[in-house]
Amino acid sequence: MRAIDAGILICGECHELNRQDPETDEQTCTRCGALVHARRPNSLMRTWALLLTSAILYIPANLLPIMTVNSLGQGSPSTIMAGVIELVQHGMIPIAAVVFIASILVPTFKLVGIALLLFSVQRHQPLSARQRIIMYRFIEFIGRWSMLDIFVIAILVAVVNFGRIASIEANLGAVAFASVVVITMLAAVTFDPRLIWDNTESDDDHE
Amino acid sequence: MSDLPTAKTRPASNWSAIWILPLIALVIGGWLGWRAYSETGIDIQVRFESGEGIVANKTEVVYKGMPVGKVKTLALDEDGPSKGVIATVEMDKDVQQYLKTNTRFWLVKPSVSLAGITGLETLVSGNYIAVSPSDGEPARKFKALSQEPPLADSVPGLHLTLKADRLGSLNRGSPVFYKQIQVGQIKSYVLSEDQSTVEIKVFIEPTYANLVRKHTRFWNASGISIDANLSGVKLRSESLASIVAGGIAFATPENRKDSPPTDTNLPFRLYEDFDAAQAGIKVKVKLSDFEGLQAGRTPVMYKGIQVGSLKGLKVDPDLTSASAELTLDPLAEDYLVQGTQFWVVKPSISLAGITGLEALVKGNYIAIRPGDKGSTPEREFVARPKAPPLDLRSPGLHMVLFTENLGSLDVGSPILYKQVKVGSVQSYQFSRTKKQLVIGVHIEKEYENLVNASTRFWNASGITLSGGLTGGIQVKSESLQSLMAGGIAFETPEAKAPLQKRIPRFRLFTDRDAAMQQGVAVTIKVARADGLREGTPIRFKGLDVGKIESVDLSEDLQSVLLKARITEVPERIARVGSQFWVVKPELGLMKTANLETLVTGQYLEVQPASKQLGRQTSFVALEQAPDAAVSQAGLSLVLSAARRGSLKEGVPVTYREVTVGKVTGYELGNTADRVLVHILIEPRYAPLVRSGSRFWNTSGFGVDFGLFKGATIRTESLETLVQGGIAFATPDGDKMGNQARPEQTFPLFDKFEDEWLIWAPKIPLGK
Repeated sequence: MRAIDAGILICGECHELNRQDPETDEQTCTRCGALVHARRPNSLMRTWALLLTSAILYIPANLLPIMTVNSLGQGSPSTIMAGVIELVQHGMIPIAAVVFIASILVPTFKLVGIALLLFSVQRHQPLSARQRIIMYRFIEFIGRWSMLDIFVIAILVAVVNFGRIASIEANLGAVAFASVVVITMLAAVTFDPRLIWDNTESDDDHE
Repeated sequence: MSDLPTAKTRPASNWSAIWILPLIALVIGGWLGWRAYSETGIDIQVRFESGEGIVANKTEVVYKGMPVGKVKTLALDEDGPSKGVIATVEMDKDVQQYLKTNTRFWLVKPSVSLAGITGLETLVSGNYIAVSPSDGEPARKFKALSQEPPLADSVPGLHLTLKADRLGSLNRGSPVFYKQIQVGQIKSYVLSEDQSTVEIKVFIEPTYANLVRKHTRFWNASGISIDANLSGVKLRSESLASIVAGGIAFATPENRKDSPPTDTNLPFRLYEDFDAAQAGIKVKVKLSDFEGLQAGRTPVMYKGIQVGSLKGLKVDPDLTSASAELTLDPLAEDYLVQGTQFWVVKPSISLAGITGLEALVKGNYIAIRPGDKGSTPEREFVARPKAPPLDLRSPGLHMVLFTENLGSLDVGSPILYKQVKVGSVQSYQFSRTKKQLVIGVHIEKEYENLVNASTRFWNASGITLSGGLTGGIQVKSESLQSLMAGGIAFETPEAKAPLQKRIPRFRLFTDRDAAMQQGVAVTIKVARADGLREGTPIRFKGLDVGKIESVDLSEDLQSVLLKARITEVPERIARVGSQFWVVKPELGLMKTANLETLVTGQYLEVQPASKQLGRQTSFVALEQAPDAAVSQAGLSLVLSAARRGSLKEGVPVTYREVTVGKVTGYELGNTADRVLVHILIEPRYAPLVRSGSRFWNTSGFGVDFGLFKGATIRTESLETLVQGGIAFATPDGDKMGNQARPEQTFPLFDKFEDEWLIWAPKIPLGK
């Protein structure tokens, strides 16, 4: 049993239940005046668009150098992966793992996860509603951690600034990467999780 | 449910604003992608002999300090005899135009050596590959150089070649200094083709290119040069950098400020050090005396200033001489010509003084006297055995003295004027005929005008001991110095007597007296030289008027030649008509004369000619004293007598018993029937003799014996009684006659007539 089936719209902000008025296109919350929808309009479309954007940006984010470490006049720009490899080579495997997970695995997982989610919502396949919600929660949860790398870069740029001796500057890759992270988060927000259950065969699949 | 309103259908919007986002992302991604693509470099292959220090993905290619590429991979090169490493380098796209066949690559590694530290930056940044673009066809495969290539000649600036004997501590990149400012560097060095020198290529920055002139001298400024000697310690270094790294400095000599710009094709010489560069002209000198000379130490001095040094000394195979290689100050360049003289100065202590005293302290040195500027340049000389006489060009008076023997004179003996040293003996040598010595003398400039044509020089050496019966003994010496060392003194009697020649010639007399003799040298021929010797005086009326200087046999051995000098009134004596004779002691019954010559020695008497008939310096002495009448002043008369009686030379002629003249001689008349008696009346009394005068012989005493008169004894005087004599009387009035002419002949009566005795004419006497 879905709210939409009972003709009830829930306010997204104050969670007031409003009876659906089929006459109107745009209904407002009786309590707080926010727009209420049965489902977020064009949720899938927007998510797709954002997903696509982040997917496109994902390519330069990984290929372009994310930052340049200038040490005694010698600059060596490094991409995310090169940085991870370098860390591994220096034996800092835990840090490498963190960076790798936060910067490589998580965005990739997010991109793939959202894509899978959208695909399964649209095509009713191949995931069950339960799998989808787990996926959705996971994506929501890990999304913020992807910014770890950006924070590291931001801190490093700010802290390591000794002029000619050593300095770190962010490159376009960081911009792209940050965009990827932000846009995937937006994509996760844009996605209306209620859609997960719309296309399922039974409401209580998960029950 | 027909009343149900028909659902409003809106055309479904296929387009949503959200799709702008992926588009923007696409655009950004596309731009990034295109940029990445456009920045994608060009892969080239560079072959290295060794991959040491090259790290894939790390080692950069740097051009002018700017990364232009990066080594991507390294691979072994199996081709070729020596296996190398091929580095695949991704070069920036914008340097594509520089990737030509002649472009050179080399690995820059840190290199720390005494010569300097290069590639210091690679210590932290890692090695890098440097690239020097060049021309040629586009290429993608290159062979790396083993080391940095020298600076290309195309770089603006001055590219020079220096030739050096040794490289020293110079290295590539060693600085070139001008006034301790670095103005360039050493590009490279190679052995010359004949492997005898090192050719060093030097680059001078364009700003300083005009500092290098044709006469510029380069020297190796590496390290510190310490020159310690008695005159102090000299420490010289170009800069701290050059001490460690080595370097070259250059300068243009002061006297070559107008030197033309250099021709870059001509190599310069690189001198070993500053001093060598300053004393740059190489000269070879053959030395016969090379005692105490040290290569590298012995200086070449000119007037006490060092103008060069001895660089090398090689003893010749025969061990008697050595050839020395000198380097001289460039200042001397113009003077290294024919006539330039070298000699070795060493301390010498002699009575003439200490010479080369400074050599005692400093060690022997080589002295140079420059030749005349403008003569043929020469670089090989033969040293003189001893110091040459003073340069004729030096200020002061140069002159030549002739002498018979040197005495104790030596080079350096002083020339004294009033016992002040005004010059010195510079040299002596035999004259061309080997009979005389020629002494070169220099009078200092300030005393130059003390010497003129009338100056007389004498040897003031030693002590002059002159003594005589009359003057006592005199000891004379110029000064203690000249007593020991010998010396020459001079005096200038006349203030104004200009010198004849530029280099005057004088006679050097043995002593002052000889020198100060003035007058004229004459030669007198005598038959015998009995009692005549050097120093025998020539007298006139008892006064010394001259002296015999030498007594020699004449060439035909028939006579003796006396060389004499007339010092008093020579113009009156040395003239035609003068007569000389030897005065000897005569002791006899008839006559005793000149007894003083027994003690003082014989002498020559001279009777100067009364008239000026021209100069004459060669005389023949008379056998005996001539008739005085001829020559003596006064009225000379001839008396004709039957007999000589007791008349002889010198007996008085009296007038009124006053002696007014004398007999100067007698002779037989031409026909031997008469005796001609020559008398001379003193000029004062000459007017007394008149044509009417009567002369009578007053010798002895006449005794008139008569019966009536008794005996009358007449005599003029006691003197005439003994000696004999002639008297005369002149009548008064008309009979007096005219004044007697010289050589007029009168009869000489044996006795007077009484009448004559009473004649008393008034005749004024001459003055």
